[in-house]
Amino acid sequence: MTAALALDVRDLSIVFDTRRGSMTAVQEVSFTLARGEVLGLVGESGAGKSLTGNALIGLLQAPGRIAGGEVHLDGQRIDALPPEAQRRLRGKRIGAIFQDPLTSLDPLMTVGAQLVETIRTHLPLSAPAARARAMDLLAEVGIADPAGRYGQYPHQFSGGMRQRIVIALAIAAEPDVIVADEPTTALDVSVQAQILSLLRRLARDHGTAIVLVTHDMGVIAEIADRVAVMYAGRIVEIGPVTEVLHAARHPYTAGLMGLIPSLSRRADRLPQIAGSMPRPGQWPVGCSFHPRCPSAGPRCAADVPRPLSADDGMVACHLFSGGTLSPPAP
Amino acid sequence: MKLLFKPLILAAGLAALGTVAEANSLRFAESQDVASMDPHAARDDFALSLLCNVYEGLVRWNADLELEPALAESWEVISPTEWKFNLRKDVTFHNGNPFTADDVIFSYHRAGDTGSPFAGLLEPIAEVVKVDDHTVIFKIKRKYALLLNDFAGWYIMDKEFQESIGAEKPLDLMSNAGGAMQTQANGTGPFKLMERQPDVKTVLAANPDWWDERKHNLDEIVYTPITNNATRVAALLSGEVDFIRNAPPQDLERIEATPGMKVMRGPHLRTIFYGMDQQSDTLEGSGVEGNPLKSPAVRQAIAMSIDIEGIKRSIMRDNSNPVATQLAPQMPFYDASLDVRFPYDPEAAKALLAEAGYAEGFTLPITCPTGAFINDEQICQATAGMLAKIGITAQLNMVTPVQYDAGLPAGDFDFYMLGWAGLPTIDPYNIFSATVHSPTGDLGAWNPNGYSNPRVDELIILIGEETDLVKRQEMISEVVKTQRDEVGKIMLHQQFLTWGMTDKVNAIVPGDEYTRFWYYTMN
Amino acid sequence: MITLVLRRLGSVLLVMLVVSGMSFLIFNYLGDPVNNILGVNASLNEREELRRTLGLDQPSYVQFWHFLQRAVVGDFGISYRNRLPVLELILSRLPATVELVMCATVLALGVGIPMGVYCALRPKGAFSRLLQMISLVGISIPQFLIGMLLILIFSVELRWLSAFGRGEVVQIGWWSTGLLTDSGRKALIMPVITLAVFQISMIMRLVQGEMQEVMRADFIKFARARGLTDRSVHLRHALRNSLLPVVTVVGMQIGSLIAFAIVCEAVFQWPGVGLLILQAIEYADFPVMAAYLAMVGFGFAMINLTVDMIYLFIDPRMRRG
Repeated sequence: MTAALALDVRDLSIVFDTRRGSMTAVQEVSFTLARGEVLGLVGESGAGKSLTGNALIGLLQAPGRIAGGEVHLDGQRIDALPPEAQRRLRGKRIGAIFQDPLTSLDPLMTVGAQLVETIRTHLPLSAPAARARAMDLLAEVGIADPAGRYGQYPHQFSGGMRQRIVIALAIAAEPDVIVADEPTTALDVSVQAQILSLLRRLARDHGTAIVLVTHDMGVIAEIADRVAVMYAGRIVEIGPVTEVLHAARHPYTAGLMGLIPSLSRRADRLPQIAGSMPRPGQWPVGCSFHPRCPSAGPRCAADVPRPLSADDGMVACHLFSGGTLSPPAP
Repeated sequence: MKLLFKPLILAAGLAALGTVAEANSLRFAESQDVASMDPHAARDDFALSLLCNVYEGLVRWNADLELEPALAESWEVISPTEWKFNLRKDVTFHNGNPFTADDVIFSYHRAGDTGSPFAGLLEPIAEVVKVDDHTVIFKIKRKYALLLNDFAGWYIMDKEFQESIGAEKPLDLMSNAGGAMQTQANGTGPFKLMERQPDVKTVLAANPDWWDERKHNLDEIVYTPITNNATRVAALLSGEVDFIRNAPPQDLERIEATPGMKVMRGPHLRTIFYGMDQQSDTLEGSGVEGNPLKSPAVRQAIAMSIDIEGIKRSIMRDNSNPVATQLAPQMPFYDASLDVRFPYDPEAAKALLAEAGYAEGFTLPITCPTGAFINDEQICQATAGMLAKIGITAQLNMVTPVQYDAGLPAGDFDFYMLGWAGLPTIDPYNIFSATVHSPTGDLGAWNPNGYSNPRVDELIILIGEETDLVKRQEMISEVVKTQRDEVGKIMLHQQFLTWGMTDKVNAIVPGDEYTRFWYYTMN
Repeated sequence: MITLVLRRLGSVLLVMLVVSGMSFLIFNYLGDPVNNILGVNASLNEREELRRTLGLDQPSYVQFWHFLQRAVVGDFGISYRNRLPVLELILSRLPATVELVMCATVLALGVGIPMGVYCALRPKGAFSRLLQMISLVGISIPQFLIGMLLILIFSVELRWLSAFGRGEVVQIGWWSTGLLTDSGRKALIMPVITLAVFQISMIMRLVQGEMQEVMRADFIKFARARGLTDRSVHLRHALRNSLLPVVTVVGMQIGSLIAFAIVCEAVFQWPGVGLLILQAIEYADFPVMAAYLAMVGFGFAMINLTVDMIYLFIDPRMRRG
């Protein structure tokens, strides 16, 4: 099992160094990802999911930094590599897709040139070979008439087409892992589905592992194999997608799930759960969720719940610290 | 293309080598370029002060500003209206053409015909008659005292050459006929034009065939306009030029303190004064009834309020000479006994004002040019301060020289600074006719609404005609005294010329500012 | 694109018309050239006579109409001061200014862009702070002062460079260049620096500001995520996307420098159009000023057009339609 792991994140912590001292934004996040697996990383904005994604691709921006933990890619530790070695990994072994395809591409360069530039940065190909590969990539992500489109500029493509090009760029060097940060949020619903199916196809055909960062449970339901739920810088629950969707253990997850009457609806906030997620630096003592938790007990305000492994998942909640994975009757 | 300009570079290189050799090259920088190489294009002393080295008149001014024969060997007055001139026989133009009576007649028509800028100067002449190749008779319209003075500023040109380049007439600003004179010159003078790039460089070389005995030792004069005062001084200090005329007052000390540099000084013929509206019945903006400037007592009060010694000391840095009359001491017919200023006495001035009915003072608008005369702005500002002490509130109106030159003759100014040197005539008549005579016809152009006295007007006309020196002196002194006593102008001072140069240059500094290079030597 | 060009050309004509029309209104307040032409000794009658000949006694709009009638056939009259045909005069001065401005611009771009890039990439570094301080000085120090300082150091004290003029020039057709001779090249040094100091500072700040902005853009982050080298991210993507405003400003700057490098040209007695117009103003040389202002209007409109063209070249988004 371990040998087949594409990505192994252990106890990853991210802090921000500010004038008033360090502020923890992500704490002891651990998860694994097998080849061809799609892991949804979900949570409200500010939960730390995008930071985690950035940390994976080595693009954490100052003043943020990795304060602890390890990231292993195919068994090789990558978070401690020197910047230049990290750069060489980026795009080659770990790709990225961002939210807004409209702004992800350089407006002054043809898509072909951007592809060739990326390909030749990572692969020892001649210019014509790189060009041929660029065309193949365009075809692969579903751009009709790659030869004709090759010399066009980003503004000549629609939003969905642009996201396809972004994906083509991300997979240009056949990375093992792709971190996709809200890849469909900026797109029309109809286009969303196409992009998601494209991602799933890539995972299946190429064995690419995908970390899909999103706040949209609908997206998770459509594409993810497993889900990791983040709240206030921690992962509170991990599990297979069907399990989490239909039998959430953590009260927060349960609250989240209560929000999706239909899978195509978006959930930006959690109105059923009173209050809002605390900002980094204002996390309460004990379980961060306890002030909002309908099931909170005295212990919740005192100790941080330890993650509790299950057969194919994990949950961090005092409700389960008795050892069983079913909550005690209230 | 390479082939095409290679010879040019070579030529430039050779020219550069040429200047390195032992030749005495006087590099001369000025604030502006001369407008043209045509000595008839304008009665412009600035241009003529350079062109007098290239062209000559029948007579010329010597180093002491005395008239001496030039292209005319001698002359005699046959009758009050007929002057005979014997022309020098051994003279050639720079192109080798001989100088003859035909050239004189040609130059008379070229400069004097209606529409030419010199028509006013040569107006007294009715006709020029050729007696033989080297004798001409000038018939004049009336008795005229200043024919020779005028002739010193009227230069003779080569008929044949002018016709050959299509410049028989001075430049017409509408049709550009005669435009060739911008870069060509053919005179008889001690220096000839070698190269001219307008606004960049003008090179003169010594004329080896000059008719006169050569006292200078200059081989070449390189004339460069440098507009900016500071740059011009820097060019002198850096050794790139040898000579600048009119060094800026604030740089004199620096030049003199630099080893190998000196400032040569000399009195200027120009005197500076305030002129004023003495005719209008009201003085706009004065805040009082009537026109206070009409009252001689008020004018005297203003004159007595001015601390001219203070101005000399603190503004002119001793480079000025206070005067009481418009005639500089170096001007012919200067009368020292009249050169007595009203005393500086603000208290007495105040009393005078009160007597005239202006005990409370009034507001006086003063128009001042910025850069027409040395330290003009500072002097006006100082004047304003001095007037305040006797209760007059000055309202300064600064105008650029070109606005000033337009507004003054048009009578736009009530009280203004003006300076007059009497050039190129170098005779009191020029000063009187332009700035003292009541404005009528061709006279009094620079005295709009100004001083006016019928007796003085009458005398000025007579001074123009009278050739008897004693009678002339009497009449001139009477004009000077009358105007002084009636405070027709409020006199300030005579400017000094301050020319900066390297120690190598020995120059003369004449009161008319002309650079007569045939008197210059270089060590 | 052709309609764009045609529309622009139409506005060029309008601009020229308005500018030169206004210039005739201004002339009334600038003074009277007659005194300069005739000298102080001219009588009132002679002045009136010349004023009539030159048409200066006519109302502004009549003078303007006469100017237009002649300008249409390329006749801009004769300069009062230089006594040369105005068009010929301006054209003969143009090369000096164009050469000066172009050299200054090349220097400014060559120095300003790298400085701006450096400061954008390390905005908090000590060297960046030093550069920013220098650029602040460069923007605020008057050209006249820079010029005089250079002259004092390199001409008066060290005697290395000439304080004035263009040195020897080589004539190639109607163009004159100082770039082909030693003295000509040396003569360019101080004026070019004087003119470039402001431009360097301005370009540096512009590039820095723009680039810092662009560096925050998503496509830069994505370019990094693609694993591109820093060099490629900074220069090929960030810098290139920062250059549009630089092109605009530099284009306008070139125009205004050619038209109004007056201070620099006056300080170094550079025989270009700036010095010409300065002297024309001092002399009330109306034909030169009228023609010149019309040409400046034309020049600026043409530069606008060129900048638009460069936009089309740099930014594919504008090529539509």
